[in-house]
Amino acid sequence: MSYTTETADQVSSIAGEKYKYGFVTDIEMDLAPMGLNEDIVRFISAKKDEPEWLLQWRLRAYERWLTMEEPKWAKVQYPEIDFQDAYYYAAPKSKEDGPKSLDEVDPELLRTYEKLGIPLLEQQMLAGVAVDAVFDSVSVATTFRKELAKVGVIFCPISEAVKDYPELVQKYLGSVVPYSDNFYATLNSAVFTDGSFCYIPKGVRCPMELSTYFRINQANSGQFERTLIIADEGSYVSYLEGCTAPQRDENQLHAAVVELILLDDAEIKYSTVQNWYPGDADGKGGIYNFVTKRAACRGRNSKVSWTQVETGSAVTWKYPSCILQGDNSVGEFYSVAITNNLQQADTGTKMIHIGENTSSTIIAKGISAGRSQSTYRGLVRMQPGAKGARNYTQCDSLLIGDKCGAHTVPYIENRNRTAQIEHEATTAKISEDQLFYCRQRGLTDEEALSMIVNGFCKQVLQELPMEFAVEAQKLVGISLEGSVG
Amino acid sequence: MTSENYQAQLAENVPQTDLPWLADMRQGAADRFASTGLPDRKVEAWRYTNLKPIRAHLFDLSLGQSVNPPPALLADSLRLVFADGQLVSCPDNLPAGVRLDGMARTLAEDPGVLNGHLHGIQAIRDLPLPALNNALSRDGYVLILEPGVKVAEPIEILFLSATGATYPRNLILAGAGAQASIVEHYLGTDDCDGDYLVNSVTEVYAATGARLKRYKIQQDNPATSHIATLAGQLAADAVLENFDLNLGAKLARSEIHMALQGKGADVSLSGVYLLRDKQHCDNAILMDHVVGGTNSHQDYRGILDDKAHGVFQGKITVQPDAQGIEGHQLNRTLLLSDRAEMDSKPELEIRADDVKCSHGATIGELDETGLFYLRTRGIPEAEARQLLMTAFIVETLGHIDDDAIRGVMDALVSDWMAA
Amino acid sequence: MTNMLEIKDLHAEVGGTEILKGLNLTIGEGEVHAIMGPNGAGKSTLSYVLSGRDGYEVTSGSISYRGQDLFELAIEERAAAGIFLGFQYPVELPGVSSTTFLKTALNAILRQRGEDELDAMQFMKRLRTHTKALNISDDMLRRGVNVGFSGGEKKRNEILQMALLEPSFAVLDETDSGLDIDALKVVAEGVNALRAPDRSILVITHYQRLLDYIVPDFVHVLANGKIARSGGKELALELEENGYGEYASGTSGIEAA
Repeated sequence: MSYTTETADQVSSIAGEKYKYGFVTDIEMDLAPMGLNEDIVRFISAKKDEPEWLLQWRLRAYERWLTMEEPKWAKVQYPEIDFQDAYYYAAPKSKEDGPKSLDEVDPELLRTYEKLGIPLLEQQMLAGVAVDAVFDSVSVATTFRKELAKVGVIFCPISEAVKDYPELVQKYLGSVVPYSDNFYATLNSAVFTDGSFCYIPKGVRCPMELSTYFRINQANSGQFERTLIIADEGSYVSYLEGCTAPQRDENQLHAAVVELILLDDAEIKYSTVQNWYPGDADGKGGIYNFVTKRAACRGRNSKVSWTQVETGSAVTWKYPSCILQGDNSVGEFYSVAITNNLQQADTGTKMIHIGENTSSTIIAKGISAGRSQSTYRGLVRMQPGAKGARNYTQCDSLLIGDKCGAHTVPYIENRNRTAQIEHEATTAKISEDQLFYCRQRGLTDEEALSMIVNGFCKQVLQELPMEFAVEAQKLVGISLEGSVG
Repeated sequence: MTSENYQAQLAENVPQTDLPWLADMRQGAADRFASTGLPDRKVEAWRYTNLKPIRAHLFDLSLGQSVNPPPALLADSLRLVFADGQLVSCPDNLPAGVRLDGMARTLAEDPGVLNGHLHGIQAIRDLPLPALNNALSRDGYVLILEPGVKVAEPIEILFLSATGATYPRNLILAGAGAQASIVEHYLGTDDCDGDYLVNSVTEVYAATGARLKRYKIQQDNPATSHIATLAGQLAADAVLENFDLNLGAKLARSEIHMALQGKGADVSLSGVYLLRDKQHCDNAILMDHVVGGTNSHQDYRGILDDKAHGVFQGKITVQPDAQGIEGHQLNRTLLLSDRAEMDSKPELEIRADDVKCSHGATIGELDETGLFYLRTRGIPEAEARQLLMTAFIVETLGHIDDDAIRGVMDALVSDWMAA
Repeated sequence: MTNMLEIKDLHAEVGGTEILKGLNLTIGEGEVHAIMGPNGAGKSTLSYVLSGRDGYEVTSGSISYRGQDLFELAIEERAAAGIFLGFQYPVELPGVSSTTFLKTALNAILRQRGEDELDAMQFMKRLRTHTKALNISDDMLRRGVNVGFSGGEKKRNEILQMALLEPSFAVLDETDSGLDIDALKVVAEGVNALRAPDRSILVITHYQRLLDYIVPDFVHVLANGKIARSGGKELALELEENGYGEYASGTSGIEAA
């Protein structure tokens, strides 16, 4: 059955429901003192029982961060963030001793994830999807680890990987996004608390989808997770992430870093459905989603594909990028960004072509409704050595209502004669003719809107794994509720 | 150079005047420039262009020279000639309702017609290079068309340069329904040492229903710097077609600010840049749809050889509530050499919903298949290349609907290709 | 017996210009009516007023559909109540596959009528019975609605939708425009197959040609926003012969939409 039918059905069945993940889990938490200083960095490192090199790395990042300024170039506006007015470590008390197996996970947490549609007990789970559940600052459960271990795939919280696979972590952590990279990535390097680690050995095609489900629960806390995925020669993995947070009046900061490393002939498919709490209709509350994601295609013939559906967050600042270093490597970026009410999104990608015959495709669809502002910002750069490289970019913006904005800011840089770049962009409002046609055939305003917008996004949504596609379709409809009529 | 140095240099070089408004304006502009100095590459608008080469020449003001200007480009044109920035010849038989004269003479004889318009366009008033021009400019041309006047002859303005820094300041005031075609030709003399700076500003006010065509040919000497700013304000139903041919200078920047302020206003900007050696050419455009029911088109194409560096930064802005907009933008570049470089940044900023806006950009090499095909048909390689290069820019040249001017442009383009 | 449709003294404006100026029309159950008229007479305006399109403002008069006030219903409620508009220019919906669209529309209408929705199997079965007759390929069903369809394909797709949605009252707006004679026959056959005692059809056309294939019970001439003349099918032939010359005076020259 096609996605859009489903969407329309689901939209109508949940009509009126705005943000269904807005609940708060009442659970006893272990918190670091509020604020940020060197002691907090040491505190986090000590909590995780980290080796000295990692503590030193964090401290260097913290020193560096103190000298940096928040980037101001994005088309987003928000009040100054008080970095001292937040908790940098928040973990469920029950996690203190660490659950030995899934059966020992706090039932309250299991209930939370069940409510989010992510059952963590393996017998209830969707077969074929392994989940790492990150709750505030810590990973609370990782499923199917034994199954994966059979084929040599490592999938575990990064805090465990630091202890169990120190040589891999030390070799690759910060090798794609250095600790000095940018304001938020540097902050993350200093205070990251957990995240997922994944290693796919040579020649292994990961037998199931890997996914991380991020949940911010604690008030006044930020989430700073770090994901590191290494795809060794000839391996393949499809990785998904989802994010939600309770409905709160204050803004909360999410500053993650994701690093992907691909060796020869490796392939990573990385999909995100971002549904952080977007704030209310008046722009109160919501997550500041300031994320650095980057893939290094180091090997020949490697391929990375970023697919993102961004519907949540009050402010999104995010540019999943590809460094196409290996000859013949391929980078793809498929994005849908939907903003409604007072949401702001400044998102896009960077494709840095270094190797010969590298190719990249960018398909970005922005939908703005309400009083929101949506910006596509992208860089395509052909370095002098990128002989025969190719890029194709298409970014389309759809405007729903006359109070929103849609902006397109591409940077296109070519330093190689034989490299070809093609860029196309359009901006238009949603077609009255299309809406009328659908309604004449019996669809309601919102069904018609959802169907047309899903059609507009189809090129991107069809890139998602099935399990996520349905969720994403549904989100497209829900995110636009109240934007017509 | 520090702010104090600028202050001192400016104090020495700002021309004196008895007109209080003019003195105030020049001083304000001088202060403005002193406070900002030249923009560096951290300023987004200058991301791809380094202004260092012009710093040493800013206050090397040239005092004019006697020259023998080359023949006019167009037969029967109304022609003004400036040598190193100063007016040396001016037509005497002007059609009724047309004022075409030097800026210095107009300021001396009838300054009232300029007050309120000179340096009046907000969008460029605070920018460093136009401010510096405003502070230091000594001459330029003034074209004032009475309402309804349609000038049959093309107007041709030659800026001939040999030395020093010149700051041409030009003003076009087109009354309601007036029509004219203007060619601005920037040319280096054959025998100069070549290292000069031109920093020109042209302000255009088009009243209701006015129709203007402006063509700029930039053929400054290969070692020089050419900075030009064009700022336009269009009232309802006013139409402006502008074409930029960039051939000369080592460092060229053509910056255009257009404000479509009345319903039915229509702006079409097109340009061709042909660069070789270490030439650098930056076309920067800001198209501002202030009100609804306005249209704009941009079409810029270029061919880069050797170590040339091309830049295109085009932005379409649609202001809130400016409904019913069409804005389109196209930038295409051919790279002929392994060391040539092109940076393109087409940008849309849309704050109303009833719009149809698009942009497209391509950068690549000459179509090898096409070349092969032509050669199998017996066309020698050099000729085949030239054919394909011409084909690449011919659509853009097609925006020129005046046969005589098109002829001039075609000749210049084929000279470049044959060189 | 209640009439299918009763239009009384209908006045309607588009953008402040009055297009319909006191139109009266009654259509009984099972009847096929044709409205003909010169360009700008208000034919398309009538079809949009019947389907409830925004921007077509009724300033006075009434339309009663099976005894119910039509103006109380939203666009999709009219569709659910059985009103179908075959578009003169069917709209393209990029990215929305025809199958998805048809299933969503059919189920939306069934739901609004309080009937059971069809699952994928049942739907496909029903769809197949119609696609064959109209020579609609699977490829067309997979593509975006009307995207890349030829003129004939678009019109066949409209008739397919009509067949599937089983309306009580269908308005076919210039269904013949852009069709060659073979395509026209296929479309007309599709329409004729849907003629039924409980279904009424209003055919809007500029040319008599279509009426050779869809033979109406009544023909009306719409001119200057009113029904200028009514008669049997022979009226169409007369118009073909004499043209609209005698009705042309006073037309505003605005063929809205």
